[in-house]
Amino acid sequence: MELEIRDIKKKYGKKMVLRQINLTALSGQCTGIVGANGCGKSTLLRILAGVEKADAGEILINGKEIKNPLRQMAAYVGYIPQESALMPELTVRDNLKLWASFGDYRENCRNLKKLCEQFQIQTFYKEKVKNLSGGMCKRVNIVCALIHSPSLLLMDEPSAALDMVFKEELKGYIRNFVKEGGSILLSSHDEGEITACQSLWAIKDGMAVRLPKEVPVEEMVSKYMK
Amino acid sequence: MYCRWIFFTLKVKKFIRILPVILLETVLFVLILFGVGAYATKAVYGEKAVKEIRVGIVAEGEDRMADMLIRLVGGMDSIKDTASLEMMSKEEAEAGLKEGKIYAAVILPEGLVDSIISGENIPAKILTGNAYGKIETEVFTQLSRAGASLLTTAQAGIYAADTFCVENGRQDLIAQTENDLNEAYLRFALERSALFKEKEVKAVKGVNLTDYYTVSLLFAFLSFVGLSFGKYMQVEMGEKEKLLKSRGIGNIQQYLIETAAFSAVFAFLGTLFSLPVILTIINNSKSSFAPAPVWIVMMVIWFLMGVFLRTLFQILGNHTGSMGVCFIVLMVLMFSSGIFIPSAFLPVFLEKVGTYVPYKTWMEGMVMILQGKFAVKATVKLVMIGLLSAAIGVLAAVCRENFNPALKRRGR
Repeated sequence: MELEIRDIKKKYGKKMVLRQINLTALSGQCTGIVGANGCGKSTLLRILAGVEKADAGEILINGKEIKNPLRQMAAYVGYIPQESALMPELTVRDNLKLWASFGDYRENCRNLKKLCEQFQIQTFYKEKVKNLSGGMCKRVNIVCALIHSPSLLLMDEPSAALDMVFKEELKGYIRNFVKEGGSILLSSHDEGEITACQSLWAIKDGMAVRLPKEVPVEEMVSKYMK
Repeated sequence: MYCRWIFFTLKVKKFIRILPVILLETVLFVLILFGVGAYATKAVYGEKAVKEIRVGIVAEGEDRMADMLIRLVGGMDSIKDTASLEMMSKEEAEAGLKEGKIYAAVILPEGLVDSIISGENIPAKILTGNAYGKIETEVFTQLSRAGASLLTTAQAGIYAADTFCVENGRQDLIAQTENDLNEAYLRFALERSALFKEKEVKAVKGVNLTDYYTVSLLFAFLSFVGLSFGKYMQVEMGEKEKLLKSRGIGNIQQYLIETAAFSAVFAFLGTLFSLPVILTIINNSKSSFAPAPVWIVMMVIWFLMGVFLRTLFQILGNHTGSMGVCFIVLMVLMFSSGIFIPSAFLPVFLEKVGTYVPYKTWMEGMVMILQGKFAVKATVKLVMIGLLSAAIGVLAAVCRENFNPALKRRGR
């Protein structure tokens, strides 16, 4: 699935966060977004997930404009937010049940079984979310995003709080997902994740700039992360 | 639709899971509240206020009628419960005041009763000691003034009769009329005290004072229980709520689903607590209670109270400060609607305000249950207030989402 963003603008109060974002995420590719803290990476992902409304601009999927992103994007994308999207007082099972209820429940439950095995969630399936570690929570959030088999994955710093083993597990999953024709758009500060991306964009002063493939990390940091 | 049902069931599950913590919190809160209240009462009024108020009566001269009057007044229920009147000499009264043995001394002038009958009304002298607090002294003085004005009012009736006789040219009847009226006044005063002994004082129509306060206590306790739920409500639109919105469960739907879930749990809890209490009251009052719809009304009352509380959180928020404001609002609402003191004893303006407060309607609903009679008007009023609460809640939810500058600034 190909994603194209044209002239996306967003401001909070008087602060213009996204001035004019033009970006493309191709099918079968992992696209990375880098930038300094507060540059608007998360805002962009939230707009693409249909969580936030852009002030202006267009979102196109496979060349077709999405008229109402707030309602339509969720069908295409799986969004892994930075913050947890789980109900802390309930168990992992309850939370997953909720996210499985969107769309085809039976199909989602079949997916859920596979995902739980893949991300080793069965061990704490009946635990309350508030008793989980940050990494465990992240894994459950990832499963929630993948439950309805989206063709575009939006990941906001996905490996934050994950241990080394699950970081590798996630990388493996990303590789497989892309291999099967899915698209991934991720924002990250993790060098390993960034180098695994096929195309890389940097956000600076509210504009998206495409980075050359072999740009050294030092240059990336000095030019776009300060 | 299925996702909305799942969301509802999970919300119900969440509220049931936190129930033990909520109950524990509320019980502790109520204990602290009562503890502080009791301590404050003791600190302000001291030990002496708890005991019976002893008042010394000094009759100047041998006045058999005054002695009779004191025995009559002292024997009345309203006086007997709060004060004991003792006849004593002036010297004993002065010593008693000095030592703090008596609270006050009332010096009855010679010919007091004759002066009441003749309309001369020689005032009684009241001496108060320094052994008691300023507040108590002030209260006693006010009570004495009220008593004196009561006597004056009684005399006004006699003067009116005198004027009537004069205007009709029957001055010859004045003496006889005054005697008859005085006799009648004393006789009725006696009968009135006997009347209070036999008949119960009703706080509201159909419910006696004890039952009224029992139901009031239920409302107050469950209000505090509801208040403890506050911090578990989803008032603001966080990341999870926005994600849910993107999946089709919008802000208003989320509010309504959570309100329904909370109110359902609250209705269950309310019924659970009120069931034994109401059953006991009904058994004791030998009410003709039976019809099943009344039980449904009871659940509806608690459900609608849940809707109201959820709306309150939606309007005021559920941060620590907001919860404090919610508590104050609930206390004011309860007070004005006669939860702590029956409306009949409140100032007129508060009594009028109280009729528009939801607690009053819920109380009316409870009265309907206690009387065992289904009242359509009261039920319609109950449902209307519930619908109005929900509508205001929806409006608050929309405002919170669209006009919250803090959220706009953060971009959440």
